[in-house]
Amino acid sequence: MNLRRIFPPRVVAVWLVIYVALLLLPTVQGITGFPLYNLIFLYLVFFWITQATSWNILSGYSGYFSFGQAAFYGGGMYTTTILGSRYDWDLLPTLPVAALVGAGIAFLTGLLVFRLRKLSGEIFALFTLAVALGIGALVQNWRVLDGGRGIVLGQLDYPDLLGDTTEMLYYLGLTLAVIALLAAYVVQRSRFGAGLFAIRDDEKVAEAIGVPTFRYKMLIFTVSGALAAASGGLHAVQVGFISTDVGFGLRVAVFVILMSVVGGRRHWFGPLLGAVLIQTVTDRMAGAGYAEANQIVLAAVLIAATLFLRGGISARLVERPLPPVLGFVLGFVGTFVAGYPAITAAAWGMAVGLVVLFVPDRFLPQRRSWTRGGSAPGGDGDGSGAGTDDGIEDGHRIEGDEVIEPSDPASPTKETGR
Amino acid sequence: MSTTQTSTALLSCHGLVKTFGGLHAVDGVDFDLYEGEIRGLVGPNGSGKSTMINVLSGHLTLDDGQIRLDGVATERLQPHRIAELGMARTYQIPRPFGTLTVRENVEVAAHFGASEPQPDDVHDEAQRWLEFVGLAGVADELPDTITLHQRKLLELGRALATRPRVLFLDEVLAGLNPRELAHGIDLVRRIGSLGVSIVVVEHLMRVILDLCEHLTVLNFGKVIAQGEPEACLREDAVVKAYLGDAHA
Ligand SMILES: Nc1ncnc2c1ncn2[C@@H]1O[C@H](COP(=O)(O)OP(=O)(O)O)[C@@H](O)[C@H]1O
Ligand SMILES: [Mg+2]
Repeated sequence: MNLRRIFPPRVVAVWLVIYVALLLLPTVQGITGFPLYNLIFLYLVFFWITQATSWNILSGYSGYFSFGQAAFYGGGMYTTTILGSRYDWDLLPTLPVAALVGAGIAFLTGLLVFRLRKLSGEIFALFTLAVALGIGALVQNWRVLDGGRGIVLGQLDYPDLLGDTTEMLYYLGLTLAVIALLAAYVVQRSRFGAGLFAIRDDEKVAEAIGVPTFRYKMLIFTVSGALAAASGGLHAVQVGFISTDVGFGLRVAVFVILMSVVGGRRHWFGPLLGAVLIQTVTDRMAGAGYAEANQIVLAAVLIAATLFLRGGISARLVERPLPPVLGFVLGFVGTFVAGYPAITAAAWGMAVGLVVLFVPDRFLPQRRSWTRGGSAPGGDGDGSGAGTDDGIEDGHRIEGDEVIEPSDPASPTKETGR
Repeated sequence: MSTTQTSTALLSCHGLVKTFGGLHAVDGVDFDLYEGEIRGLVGPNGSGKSTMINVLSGHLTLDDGQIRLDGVATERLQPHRIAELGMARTYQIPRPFGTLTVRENVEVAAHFGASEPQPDDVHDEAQRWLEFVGLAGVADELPDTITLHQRKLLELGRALATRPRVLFLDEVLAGLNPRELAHGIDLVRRIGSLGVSIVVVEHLMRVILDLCEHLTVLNFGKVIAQGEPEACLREDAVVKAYLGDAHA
């Protein structure tokens, strides 16, 4: 695979421009005084992009539907918290260690599920859930780690260059999101990604044409765990008070699944779209005082996405990108010029974009590629397709039972902890 | 062995045994395949043909026996290692990658497959095999929108894109209409002329007689005849197996 095909120069240029522009945003904020809240909001968007992308390169690409995101996220969170609060580490060096811890947990879990027992799709999902809950219980009961009282994470040292805490979270969150997206992008366009997609569709056939399925599953699981844990470590700073409920509860898993399914699991930018959309909706609903209604809205979005956009938003967007993008821009500019805050304007932009995305084609004859990516038939009897559709249904059920905290689902105890 | 070749076999199997519970699906089979050969593997339904392919490709682990592919012992190797050594197969019931287009199905095979030779460009390699099997026109369709015949051709194209030295065709020509069948037979011949050694599993005797210089006849997991097709088909055991009186 040659490098120019994976990284066409024009694509690299676009990535760089966006990254640099976003890096400059806090400085612009300092000069123009646009609301600081926007930076906090964007940090949460970056956080969710990283988590959802980490989930998707494993579960979306290889078809192994995981409910165990919290094992890695919580592992990273506790790593940074313990190193920072008990051993006085600076923040930055805790993040690679957190990544290593996440990679280690993923690697060991992978050995168990992929080597010792070849688990089918549903059992894999349950097993990953059990790993997350099991580690949570261990941390809960073992004094060396937590012991059930939770840990307050004080101010950690970091280079002055990164500004105040809000700015530092913004810069580091952005950088982690870019790393995660870059990983997802490179994997999708490489031989590795082709092998993972083959595993998702029919693992036995993939193996028979020469895909080293065990090695590939282990590798993507480990990378996914490392990304989730590094991001969880950083998020510990934002959360401030760490408990097993925050670290190992179901919320993170539910949200990364929701975001990836809505955004689309086949494309590297699917989880990005899902994360941006769902974090924006969640934030505006909370801001408007409709926090309780947020769950209903999210459920409706999920149902709409699974019924009408089986490949998620991204699959549809790839086919006809222009109308929804124009819809978004019009909606955004219109409301922004009318004097609404930027995030509210973005929410309206997304609403318009989504309507454009949904409506017109439904009156046209069914198009073949609607279902692409979302409906991996996978269940060839060998369970290797990891039952993607079952996963969606499971997502429904658990999502419905979850008490979702509105403004930041990852830190339900934030208000009590601070 | 009634083959006339004197060179050593490319694929050489001795005493292959595969049982399911008490059932001996493959029961002590010796089998040699030579470079450039097109071999017919026939036998009544349930005689163990597909099981043979499954153990040779590493899908199922062997209970006993040895397999040498160009001198390399493969009976303990994982299937992807066997594919790297140049073994490929098709499935009796096509198993395309359902969310990948026809082209992507072939491309992923070109990405992997035999470790030697590596394709210069995966996209070109895939295009070459799509044209070879006649699927270039539907390259961007999903597998569930093409015909069964096309899905069988996709099985072929995907197997070929792995650049095999030994290719197993499991009833890839079954269920085709006469025109498709003629196309299929021609295709197998052209694959043979590329230097690939082929094992053709087929029910239609006409196809076998058309394609193969040598036959191996299985019944209840055992080789009951091997050699020139006409001679094989005259043997008592074969006649009885095909007439349903296999217990004689
Ligand atoms: N996975 C399996 N489990 C149990 N029995 C099997 C399995 N595969 C094949 N068999 C049995 O092994 C015998 C040989 O089957 P097969 O190799 O498919 O025959 P053929 O391809 O010659 O029609 C049959 O009796 C079949 O029922
Ligand atoms: Mg068969």
